Amino acid sequence: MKDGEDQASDKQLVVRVQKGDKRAFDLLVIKYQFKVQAIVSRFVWDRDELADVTQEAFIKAYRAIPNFRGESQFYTWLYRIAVNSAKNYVVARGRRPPESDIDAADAEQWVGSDQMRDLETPESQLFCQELEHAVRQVIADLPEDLRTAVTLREYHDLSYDEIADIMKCPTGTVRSRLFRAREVIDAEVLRVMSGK
Amino acid sequence: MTKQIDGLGESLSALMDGEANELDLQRVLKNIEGEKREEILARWSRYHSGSEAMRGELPTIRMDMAALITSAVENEKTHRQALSGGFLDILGQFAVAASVAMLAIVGVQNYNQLDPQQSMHSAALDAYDVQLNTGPAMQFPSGFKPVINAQKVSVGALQRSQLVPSREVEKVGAREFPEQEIRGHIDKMMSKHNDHTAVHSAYGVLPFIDINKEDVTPDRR
Repeated sequence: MKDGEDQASDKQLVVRVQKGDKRAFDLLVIKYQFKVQAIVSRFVWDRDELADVTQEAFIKAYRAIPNFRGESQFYTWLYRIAVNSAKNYVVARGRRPPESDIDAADAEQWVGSDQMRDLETPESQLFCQELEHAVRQVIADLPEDLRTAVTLREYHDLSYDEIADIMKCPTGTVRSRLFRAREVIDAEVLRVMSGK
Repeated sequence: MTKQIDGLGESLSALMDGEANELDLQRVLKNIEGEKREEILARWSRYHSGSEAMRGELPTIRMDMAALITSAVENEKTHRQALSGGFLDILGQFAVAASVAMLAIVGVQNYNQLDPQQSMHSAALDAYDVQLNTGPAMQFPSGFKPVINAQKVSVGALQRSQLVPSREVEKVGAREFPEQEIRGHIDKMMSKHNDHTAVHSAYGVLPFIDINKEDVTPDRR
């Protein structure tokens, strides 16, 4: 996970939510819904239960967001809320929650239990493999300047200023190149998603 | 693709990288509530999917619940943050400091009022006051309630120095008068007393004799 940029991006959106802008929370929901589902799926294995707990976690996060002071990353904070929501749900139904917790940073890469794999349909697994392959192919085919910019950004977690220094170009050019690279990648993601 | 959509996409890309300025943020949020809402949210989702795919971090469970969650959040009350956190923090710290200072002042005042000597003295005076008011002079026939049209003066309110009889004693330094002069003054006084006693007292026949204490001590005789 790209900690620095995600933190800055999340902070901007969190501040807007704290000032009363619910639209900013919509962006956070879209950004993190699959990651929260991955965490919650460690505790509940039914799709309907997974949906309920995920929704509850986001609503709890929204209610508690005025108290979020940015001392930790938003995702770490959201992760704790999701884990607590899932544990409470499991205990309320007389089941035992898992004894060991997973770290927030490892949660995304967590492979999961057999029950979780039940939630992963063959179609979703195939979709992920196909998407990863397609995106890597598109990046390899990008023009040199776009590929360098997106690689420094996504793989090396560099800021716009740092990329500008390396590529010896204005920061605005970096911003523009990253957008153009993302547009090409986005077109490929859209193609895979639509099954064409 | 129109120039407007390009500008919006670039703002979305910058927001994703944490490099968005206020204008980018305004542009994105303003368009979310308009007719482009679905398009913007879908693009935002795809941008993140593309980023996760590049790094091989795509979550395999992908139930799109965004519409459901945002709809539920829509029913929640809107947060309002009237003042900036920094100002509130400073205000809070000032309030705490003021409270502590006030408590300290009140505490010191109470402590001064609880001077043990003054409390004991006040208790003694109260007991004396009770004694006065319950004595025979203050006992009246049943049913008789005297009307005392006088202003009560509380002795407890008087200063300690006003209650305790005192006499100013002029302190004279010992070295101001030499010992010889003092002894002469005492001898003169004793002689005067002897003369006076001889004339006005029945014991005056006995002259004043300056005797040594050792001579009259029985054990030493």
